[in-house]
Amino acid sequence: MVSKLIYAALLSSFLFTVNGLYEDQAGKFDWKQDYVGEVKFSSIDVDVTTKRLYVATEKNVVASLAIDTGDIIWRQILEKGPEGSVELIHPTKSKIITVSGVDVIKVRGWDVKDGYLHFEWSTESSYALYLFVFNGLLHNVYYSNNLIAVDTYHLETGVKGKATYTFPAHWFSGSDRCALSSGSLACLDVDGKLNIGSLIKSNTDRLGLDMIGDKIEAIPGSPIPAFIVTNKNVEKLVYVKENKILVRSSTSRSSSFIYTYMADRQYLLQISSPMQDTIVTEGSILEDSTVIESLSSKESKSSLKISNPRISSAFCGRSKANTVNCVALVSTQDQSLMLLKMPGSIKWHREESLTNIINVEFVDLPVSDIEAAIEKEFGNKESFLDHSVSTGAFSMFVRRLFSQLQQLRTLFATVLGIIESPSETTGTKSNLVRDQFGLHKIIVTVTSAGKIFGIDNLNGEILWSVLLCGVGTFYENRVNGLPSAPMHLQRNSKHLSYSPMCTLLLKSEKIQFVYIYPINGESKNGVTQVPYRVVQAVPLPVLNIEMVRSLILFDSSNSPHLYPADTPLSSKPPPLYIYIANPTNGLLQGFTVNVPISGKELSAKEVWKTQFNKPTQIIAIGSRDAMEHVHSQGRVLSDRSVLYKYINPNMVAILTLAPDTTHKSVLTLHLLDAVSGIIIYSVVHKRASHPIHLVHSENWLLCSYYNDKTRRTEIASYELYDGNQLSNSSDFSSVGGSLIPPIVEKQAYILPGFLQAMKPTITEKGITSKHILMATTTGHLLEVPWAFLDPRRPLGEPKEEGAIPYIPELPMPSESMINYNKSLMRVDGIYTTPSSLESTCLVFVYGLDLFYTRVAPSKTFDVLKEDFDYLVIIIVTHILLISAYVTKNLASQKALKQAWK
Amino acid sequence: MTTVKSKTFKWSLDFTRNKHEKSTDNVSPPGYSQLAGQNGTELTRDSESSRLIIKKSWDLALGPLKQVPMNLFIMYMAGNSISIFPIMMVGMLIVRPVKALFTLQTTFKTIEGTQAWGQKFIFFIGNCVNIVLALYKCQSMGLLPTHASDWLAFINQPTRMEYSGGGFVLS
Repeated sequence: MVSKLIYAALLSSFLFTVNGLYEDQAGKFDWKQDYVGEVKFSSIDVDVTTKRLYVATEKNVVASLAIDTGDIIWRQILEKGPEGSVELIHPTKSKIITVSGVDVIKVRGWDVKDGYLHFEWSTESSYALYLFVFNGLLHNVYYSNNLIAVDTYHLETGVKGKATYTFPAHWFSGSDRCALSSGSLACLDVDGKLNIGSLIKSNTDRLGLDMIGDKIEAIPGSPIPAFIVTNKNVEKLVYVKENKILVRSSTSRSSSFIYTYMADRQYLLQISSPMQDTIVTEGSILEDSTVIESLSSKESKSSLKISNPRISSAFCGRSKANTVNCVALVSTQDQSLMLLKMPGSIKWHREESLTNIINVEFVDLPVSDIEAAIEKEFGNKESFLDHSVSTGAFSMFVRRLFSQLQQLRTLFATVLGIIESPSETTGTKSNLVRDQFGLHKIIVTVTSAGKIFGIDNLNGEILWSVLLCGVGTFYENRVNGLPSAPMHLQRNSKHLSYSPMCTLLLKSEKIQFVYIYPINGESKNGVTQVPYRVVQAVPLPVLNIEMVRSLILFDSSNSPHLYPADTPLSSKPPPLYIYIANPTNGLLQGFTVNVPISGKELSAKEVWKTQFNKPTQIIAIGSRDAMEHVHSQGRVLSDRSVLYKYINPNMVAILTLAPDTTHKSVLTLHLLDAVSGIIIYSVVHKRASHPIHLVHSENWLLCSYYNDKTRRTEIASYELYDGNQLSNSSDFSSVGGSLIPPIVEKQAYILPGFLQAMKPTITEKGITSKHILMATTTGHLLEVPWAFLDPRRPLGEPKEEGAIPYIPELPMPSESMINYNKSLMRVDGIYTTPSSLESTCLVFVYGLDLFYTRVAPSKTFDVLKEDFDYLVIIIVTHILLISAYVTKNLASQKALKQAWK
Repeated sequence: MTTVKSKTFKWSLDFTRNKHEKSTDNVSPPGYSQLAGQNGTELTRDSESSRLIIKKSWDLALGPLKQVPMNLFIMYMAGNSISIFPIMMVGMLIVRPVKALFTLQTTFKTIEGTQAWGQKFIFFIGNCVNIVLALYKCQSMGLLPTHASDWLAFINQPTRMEYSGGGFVLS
């Protein structure tokens, strides 16, 4: 009894420990989507009790998906980069065995039910060419001393097999002209001969065939040795059966898959996609090319956007009607994954390219039709210059009548419950309209697979997708080698008579632009080409007469062009300076660009140049967000004087990393004025190495790095101040002003963890205090108030009121983990954007998982809490009103009686 | 009865008379002129009332000044912390003299005389002294916007004279 009481008391003491987010608020403002990545290997388990799919992906993820829905049942994430890349999966009855890694191969067995690790062993294999599993043995094929050698290991224990087989390999012509399929190695000779030899047994038999080919590829997952030999765009299917090489011509541009049905019969399944929205499947018997009608189908779906599908794994069975039907797991070049039922349809579809997001933009939704009509009628002329408003009395009256009619119609429609008709002006669903607080937006994401998505930010639903096929390729980020996609929102949703416009820059022989109408993904103007190579694109601070934010494009000879060309600007832009940093040669150049109001005959002149000599490398440039506003121009000290902030909108932070003999690597932060080219300040961090993240906002900077000496992540914080006197309150100029260097406050903090991404919150007016969002490798998304990273945190006695004394370690309280129990793995970046509410900032985290939430750094001071009790307020007010009237009457009656006495 | 008695015996003294009964026909002592006395009292009464009025109006005029030590004491007791009671006291300290200054004309309506202007002036000075004291209190409490930090919120973001942009070279 007593122990029960103690137990109950203990339990209840845990009830109120967390106060970051209430349980009922979980999932109310946020959503998370789990992904696995582009599928590399897969296997279908049709066992009735499990009915699962097992996949290993390019993102080094091993996962199990439900065959009916495509939902993730379990997911295990292996090491990042080549150390964790999955080379092979092998399903057994109770385990999924993966072989991963490059120099050190790691073999792991995962439980099929829940993904728990059963065993793990590793071995060194620096020269491995191919790996395959046969008879419960892992075969490691490598090439040494003109011999092909095969090591075998027992798959589950890692015990090395008897001996190393060796094969004479005079016909081995290099791994690019050879392929391994189902334990057989096939190589194309220089003199036009195809040799196929089995590597399973120690025999020297090899089969030969006269065949000229350019390229040989193994058919993935084939149960018998089967290859596709391509010769001048003619594809031939070569396979080995009963020790004979057989050749079958194959239809070009379709992907093949061989499925063993009934021990000695093989089916050839072929899949192709002649158009983005169509999938064509064909099934035939491998030997005699007899077409199986039930497996041949063609399916079109307008919402589908795929390219180059290939069957990753399949399962066939015989139905009651005695026809063959199959399920196939299809992965496509655009990294989507789908389960295809043959004959029949697509059962489910996963957009795995969302794990490779390279650029994100939040786009405001257009206003609803009624609001648009009201805005047209009463809207202030400044923000709605573009619509043609006639001010005649009669036309105003007609417009009034018309808008009232429209309102009436909508009212009837809602009252009668008529299904929402699509909006006329926007052509989208009527719920896709701007809300009062600007919280509903569209997330436009560009993925490295060349697919662009429009995602509803409230529920994560994919509204549209665009597949860029044959348009161009992405730029490459020369610092990290990843693709980069410069995207500019050239026109936002505020201009009623024009639709919003997003422009994506792609490269080909001639640089190309893709316009996207970000609300429904249509590409109205399509693709535009310019006859020069663009090296830099900078949006102008003014709009042109069509309300488009024009881009200044620098070509490779550093001459500027306006885009869209020949459209006059609405006003003369301020003096414009553009800097270009080249990470390969370390050159930084600053140009002044003269943009006449007509938008023609632009000219640029180099004004400054800085060179970082090798081996110093520019690794990051941090500039302030163009949307950012700084509300407070100074900081109040304890003696009530003001320390004015040094807010230079032209200042950029440049991080360089250089190897050093004594300090391993030296990280240098330069603060550079992009207009004058003056280096305002620079600071050196010794023994700092990757991962490095840089944040530049308001008058402060944060730079996180790994300290090799102390072996921990440190965050250096800098803050710039003008001093006690405001130099020029009305305008800021980088040239001609006083050249007094700013006061730099600096301090370093220790982060007990490793960072994956770091980003400050941003709000519309900049009144709300700033928080820093940090994604750690443990899957947390941490919201740290900037006050904790303030370099002015006092070392001794706190002098300023409310100042937190300096403690080097940053706190990581569980309440400030805004993703609560939804771990975010492999975060690539965080995107923050303001909403129309000053208190609220919208956050989108992308990586292997997508996570969206909103944060209020200074609490939601401008809205009532969602648990505000409206009912009580209404009841209380009414009771008070009624009682006031009642008592008034009673009092007057009493007074009357008193008077008659 | 008594009158009869007194008439009958001119020099007799009646001790049986009731104490409380006032004699109405007491004879004035020799050499006493009622007229002269009457004239004198009239004069003194008149000068007395005007003296009183002047005294009273000086009291009124000096009132605010007399409050100063009291106010000083209250201010000392209230302390410099900003909380509801000190704020209320400081508010009273300011509001009262300001109100008094606004109602100066009505306060001095009844007061006339040669010294009225001086009294008004003194009253005004006294209230001013009180206001100054209250302001000093505000100042020591830090309620007056005398520092640069108090005007910080009104400084606008400076306009950009130049516009810059750029980044890594696209390749």
